[in-house]
Amino acid sequence: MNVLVLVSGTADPKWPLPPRLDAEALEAHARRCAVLSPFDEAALELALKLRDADLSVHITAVVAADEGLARQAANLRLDAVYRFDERRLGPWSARAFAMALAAALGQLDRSADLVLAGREFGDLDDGSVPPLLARAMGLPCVSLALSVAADADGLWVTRQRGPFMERQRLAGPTLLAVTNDTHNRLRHPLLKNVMAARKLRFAPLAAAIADGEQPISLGAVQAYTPAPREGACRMLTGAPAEQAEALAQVLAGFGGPQ
Amino acid sequence: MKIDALRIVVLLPFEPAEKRDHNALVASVCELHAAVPGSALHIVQLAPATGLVEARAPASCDGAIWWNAVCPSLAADAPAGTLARLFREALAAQVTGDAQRRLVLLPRGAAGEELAATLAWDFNGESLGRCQRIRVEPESFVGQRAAFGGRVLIDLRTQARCCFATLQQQGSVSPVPQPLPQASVRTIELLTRLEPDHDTQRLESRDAMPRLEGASVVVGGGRGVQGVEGFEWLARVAASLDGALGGSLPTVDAGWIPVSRQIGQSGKFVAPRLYFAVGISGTLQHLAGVSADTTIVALNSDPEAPIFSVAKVGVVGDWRDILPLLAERLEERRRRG
Repeated sequence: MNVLVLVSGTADPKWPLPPRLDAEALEAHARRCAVLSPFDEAALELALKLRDADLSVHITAVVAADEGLARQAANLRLDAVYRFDERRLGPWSARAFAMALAAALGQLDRSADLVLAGREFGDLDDGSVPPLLARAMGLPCVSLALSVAADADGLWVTRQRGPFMERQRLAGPTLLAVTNDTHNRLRHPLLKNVMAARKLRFAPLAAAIADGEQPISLGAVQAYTPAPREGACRMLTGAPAEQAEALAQVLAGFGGPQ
Repeated sequence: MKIDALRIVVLLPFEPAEKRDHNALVASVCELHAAVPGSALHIVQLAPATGLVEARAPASCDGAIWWNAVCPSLAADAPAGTLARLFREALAAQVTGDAQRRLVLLPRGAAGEELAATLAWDFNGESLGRCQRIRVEPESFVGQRAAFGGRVLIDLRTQARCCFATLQQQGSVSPVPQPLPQASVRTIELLTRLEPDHDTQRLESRDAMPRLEGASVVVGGGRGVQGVEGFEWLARVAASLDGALGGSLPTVDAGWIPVSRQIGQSGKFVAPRLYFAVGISGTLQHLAGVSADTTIVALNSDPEAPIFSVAKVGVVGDWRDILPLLAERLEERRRRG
């Protein structure tokens, strides 16, 4: 089985934003401060679990970020790692990104039986790219995937749907938009694999991008400041029992027991 | 400003009438419609039969057309793929007509964002994703949304003739919706037939707490709660307040709470009257999931935690000392009625 994992990273929130907030500065910041997102990590871990269960599973990763992130993926001893250079695209149009990536993935010499992507892969913290990419690749998309496993009947995915969890048999190649879960936290790489990955060079996958205006452009940007709320915080002090009593009075005033 | 032939369409998945989760979206879109003279507003509500959903919108929402899009085999919790098929039929056959420009809006949330993207592809449009505001200009749509973990607000502009987005206006108090006049309500019988899905099995859920959506009290736990035991106390506190339980992303990662209860930029948006935040530092990513109208009460061991800068009432202390006593007092109040 060929598993394709897509990784794009996210800007590490620990790093301050650049003082100048415009498209160029934000794109540079996103590249410079990229770390694997919890959803990228979950997608990678699901692929590794499939290979743990069946050593014939071949894992290819395509990393839409700089070389540092590609090397983090390679540290996990994947079978092949490519870099998709998204620099000319910018992150603003999920559709343009998905179309370019789908075209680039067509250059891979193995067709994927399963595509795994973090649920916020390749966009601005929402879940637009995976369903668009699935459309562009002609695959069904299963969102909020928590785990995937193979048995004699094929592949089964467990996913969250609204308040429920469900188990779904995959009828053929499918793109899973993977979410975070305690069972898919990314394992630590082995030191020998980290050392081996240091020497790797990552083959580029070119983005086929038509010159011209992008379908979505960035306009005004402002730092977000939470809206001021009513007054200063009233602190409840005293011994824990006094704090708990005062807190119970406050909370009960909001529609709970009186 | 008059913008000709703009059709604003709201797509609402089926929800039983008593939930009314969509009222805020309809109110926000009515405001937008009122701000764009000459625009037409169509609200498409999926339902398994007529009469299950009342056509309601704020009184100011003049001229809106409400479409009951009926599919008899539709279930209340249909997956996004099914909803996409039904909305596609409703949009293509009945609603969009030959309008020159279309702005199609859906409720915020994972399903809404997936639908907006999927339908944008199908209609050769663009999706602006999870917007807090939408502006209509003569030649473009501008969506304002959070990015970079909620730390910046950006305007995304597109000249696409067909634009999709989810909308969750921040800090707005929705006017009470009124029944629309009968002349404004229409019915479409959808032809799409939904076959039983034999490849999907629902798993038994151990989560019996009330859902986050629509809850008037939400009790949320963060990394500072440090484990399942703390969440058991939080659940007791939530139950005694008739509230719902939520958590931050790290608590979902740790397996202390299911992803369906994640609050924040990557999780649910909640708009309760009260949010009781325990062990939550108050990052922008987390607060992006809590309405600006919500009163926050915070319990945290760190007196410098940013959550206290947005809370109305705060307690500095260890949850292990406070929560058991608090649960006891709330349960006692509940017993006394």
